[in-house]
Amino acid sequence: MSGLAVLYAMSFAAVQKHVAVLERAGLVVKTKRGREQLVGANPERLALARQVLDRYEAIWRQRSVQIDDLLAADPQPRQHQQ
Amino acid sequence: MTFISSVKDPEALSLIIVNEFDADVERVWQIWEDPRQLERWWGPPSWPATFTEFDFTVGGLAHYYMTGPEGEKAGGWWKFALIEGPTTLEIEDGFADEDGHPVDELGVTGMRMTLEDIGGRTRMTITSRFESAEQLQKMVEMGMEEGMKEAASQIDAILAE
Repeated sequence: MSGLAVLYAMSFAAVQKHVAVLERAGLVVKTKRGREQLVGANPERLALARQVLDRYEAIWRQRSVQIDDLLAADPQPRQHQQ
Repeated sequence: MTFISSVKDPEALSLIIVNEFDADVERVWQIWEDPRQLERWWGPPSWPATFTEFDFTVGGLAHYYMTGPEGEKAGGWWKFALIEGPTTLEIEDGFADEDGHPVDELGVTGMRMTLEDIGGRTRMTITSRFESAEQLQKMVEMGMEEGMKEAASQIDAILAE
């Protein structure tokens, strides 16, 4: 992690904070090597995240088409009922 | 096509979707604040949504279910975290069981929606943020189940021909 701090010109504390967030999300794993803590990406989890984000993107593409249809069919703002 | 772009960030577990519509900001705001209009676009065509509760106030809850081609139901709930009409909406979006009770282990998706006037048209930006990779795992598993069910029913339809 000290290597990360140098690489990203961040304080060690800042790196620790970022890594902790990623670790909680299950996206990185920490392993010990002597006195050093190594941080590695969790490739399975990242692939999984990509898969779900792809699905969500597809859902929103579909919604976009349906919103277009709705706006075309009903273009005028409806008056609010008080 | 009004779908403009998307930015997927698997490390931040976030997704940004940008759409542009041929309508003004006030009109696009209504597709969110009126549950009858929401029902016309929130669910996929084969899984239309029905909102049974819709308390459009900060902290208010909405309940909905989507009905599949075989009559099966998938439930969901929203909590309105921020409402600044007609431009900004923040929603916590979760899953619900058949009785409408929240299913906590599937986690909550944070959704921020902003509308911006672009010369009479409207740019809608949606930022979705997922809680954890575990949540995604469960969602994928559930989605795979759904996909297999869908495929099975398609095979049934072909075999019945």
